[in-house]
Amino acid sequence: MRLVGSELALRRAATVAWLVGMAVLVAAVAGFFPALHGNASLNVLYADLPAALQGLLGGADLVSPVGYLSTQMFAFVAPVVLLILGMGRGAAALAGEEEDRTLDLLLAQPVSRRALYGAKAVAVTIWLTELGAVTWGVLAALDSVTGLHVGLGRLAATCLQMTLMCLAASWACMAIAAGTGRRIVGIGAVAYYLFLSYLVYGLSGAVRWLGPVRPLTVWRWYLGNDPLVHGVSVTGVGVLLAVSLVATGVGAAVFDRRDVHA
Amino acid sequence: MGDQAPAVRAERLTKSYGRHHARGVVDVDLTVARGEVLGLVGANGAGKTTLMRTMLDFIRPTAGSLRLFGLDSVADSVAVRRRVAYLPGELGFPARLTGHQTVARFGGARRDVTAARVAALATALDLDLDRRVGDLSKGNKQKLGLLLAFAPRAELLVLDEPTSGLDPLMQRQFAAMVREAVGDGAAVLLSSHVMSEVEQIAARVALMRDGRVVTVQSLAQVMAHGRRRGRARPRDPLATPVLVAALRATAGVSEVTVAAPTPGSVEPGSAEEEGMVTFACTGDPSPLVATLATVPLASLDLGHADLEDAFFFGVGAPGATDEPDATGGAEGGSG
Repeated sequence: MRLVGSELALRRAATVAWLVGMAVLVAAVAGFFPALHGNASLNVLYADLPAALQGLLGGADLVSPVGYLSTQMFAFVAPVVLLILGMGRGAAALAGEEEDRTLDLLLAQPVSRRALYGAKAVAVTIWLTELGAVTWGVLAALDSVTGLHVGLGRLAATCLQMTLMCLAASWACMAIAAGTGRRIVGIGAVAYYLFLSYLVYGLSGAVRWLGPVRPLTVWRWYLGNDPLVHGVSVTGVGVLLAVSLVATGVGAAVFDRRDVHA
Repeated sequence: MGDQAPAVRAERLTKSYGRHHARGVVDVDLTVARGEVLGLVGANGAGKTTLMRTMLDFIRPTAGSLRLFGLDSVADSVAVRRRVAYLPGELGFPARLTGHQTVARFGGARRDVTAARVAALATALDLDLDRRVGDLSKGNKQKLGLLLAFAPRAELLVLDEPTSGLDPLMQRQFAAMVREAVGDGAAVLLSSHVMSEVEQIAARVALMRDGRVVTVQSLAQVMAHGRRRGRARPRDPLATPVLVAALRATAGVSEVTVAAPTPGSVEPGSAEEEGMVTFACTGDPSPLVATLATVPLASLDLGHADLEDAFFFGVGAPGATDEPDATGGAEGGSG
C-alpha cells in the first residue's frame, strides 16, 4: 500500500487539476441541455440522417434527457476524456518510468515486479474511479436543475459501466506498454482498437453483417444495454471486469519475465 | 548458508541478446567478498552495466549462475535487493519532485532509511533536498543518486559509474563514504571506464572487455606493472649522454630518449628544453632513483604510475592490438 500511496503522491497536483476540469466539462455539457430541451426541429434534422450515421453519433434522439446524455455525454465527451487520461497513466505506469530511466530506482527497492505492477494498476483504478465519481457527482447534482431527471441510480449505473470500460482500456494499455517497454505501443494499439470497435459498434445497428462482431467491442458491454434506461448490466460489468483482469494478468506476467531496459 | 557466502559469486554467467552479443556478458566468473571493494573497469559497452543490472534482477541470465549472499539473483531477487543498494549509471528522477520527495519515493520501501541518516548524507554531500530535482545540476543529481544508494546501509553497494559528474572534492567525499561503508562490513562493486577513478578506492580490479571479465588483479599486482613516465635534465648539458647510458643500464627503465628541439613535436615544451632526457619506469622505482642521484640535475619530473596502461599491459589479451584506443593511446608492450 505504500507503493500505491507513492504513486498517488507523485501526481497529486495534476490529479486535482484534472478532476476540477472534468467537473467543469461535465457541468458545461449538462448545462447545455435546457437550451435544447423540447427543440423538436433538432430531432427532425437528426431523423433525416442515414441510420448508420445516427448509430455513429450515438443515437437518433438528441432532445430527450436520455437521448441527450447518451449522445453528448456518454457516447462521446466523458469516455473520451476518461480514456485519454486513464490510458495516459496506464502507459506511463511502467513503460513511462522505463523510458524516463526512473524504473531502475523503483525496482532496486526490495519489492517484486508483480507487486509494483499491482500498485501501479491500483493507482490507475483509483484515478479512473475519481474521474467517474466526479462525472456522476456533477450529473447527480444537476439532474433536476437542468431538467434531465434521469435518476441518480441510472446515472450511477452508466458512470460505473463507463469507468469499467475505460479501466479495461487503460489496463490493456498498461499491459501492452509494460510488456514492450514502450508507451506509444500500448497507447497506439488500444486507441486503434477503440476507434475500430467504435465504428463497428456504431454501425452494427444499421449494417447487419457487423452484428456478430459486436460482442468483441467494449462499447457493446458499456452501452449495449442502455444503462441510462435499464440500469446496471451484470453481464456488461462482468465482461468489462474480466477483460481488465485478463489484461493485467498477462501484462504482469510478461513484465515479470522480461529484461528491463537500461 | 547465507552467512558465509560471498556478497557476489558469478559462475560462467552469460547473458546474450540474440544477435547483439556485444551488449551482453559472456562466461563471467567473479567473486566479491564481504567487506571488499572491487572495481569493474572497461570501455563503454564492455558489459559492466549489464553485469551489474543482472545482480539486481533487471536482466535475467541466459546461462550460468549468479548468487548474492548465497541467494539466487532471480528466484530470491526481493531478498537480494533487501541487502543490496544500487546506483544506476543512467540516473533518472521525476523532475517535479523535491529531493526529500525523491528520497521518499525511491527509498521509502526500506526501513533503514531514516530521516537522520538522510540528513547526515545530505550534509556530507552538500546537497539541498528542498530543491526540485528538475532544477539540480548533473553533479547534484549524481549526489542524490549516491545518497539513495548509501542511505540504506546495504550489505552490498552496486555503483555504476559513481563518480561521473562529481568534482574532485566530492570524489574524495565519495571515497570516504565508501571507506565508511566498508568499515561497516559492506562490500562495494563499482564500475568505471577510467582506471584512475577506481584505483583510489578499490582493492581489486576486474577488467571487462567484450562482455568477458578478462582479468581480476589486486591493486598491488596492477601497481607492479605500473609504468611512470619521467623527465630529467642534467645541470651540465655534457652529462646528458652519461645519464642516458646510466638510465639504459638501470633495471625497469626503458624508452630512454633525449628530447631534441624539434618544432612541432607532440611532446609539450620540448622545443625549448634541450638536453631533457625522458624515460619510462616499470615497477619498483628505487633503482631509477639511485641512478638519477648519480648526476646533478637541473630539473626532474616523475609522473604517477599509469595504472591504466599497466592494467591493460598486464592483460596482454587478444584484441589488444585491434583496439589501440583501449589503452588510452599509450604505446603498449615495447618496454
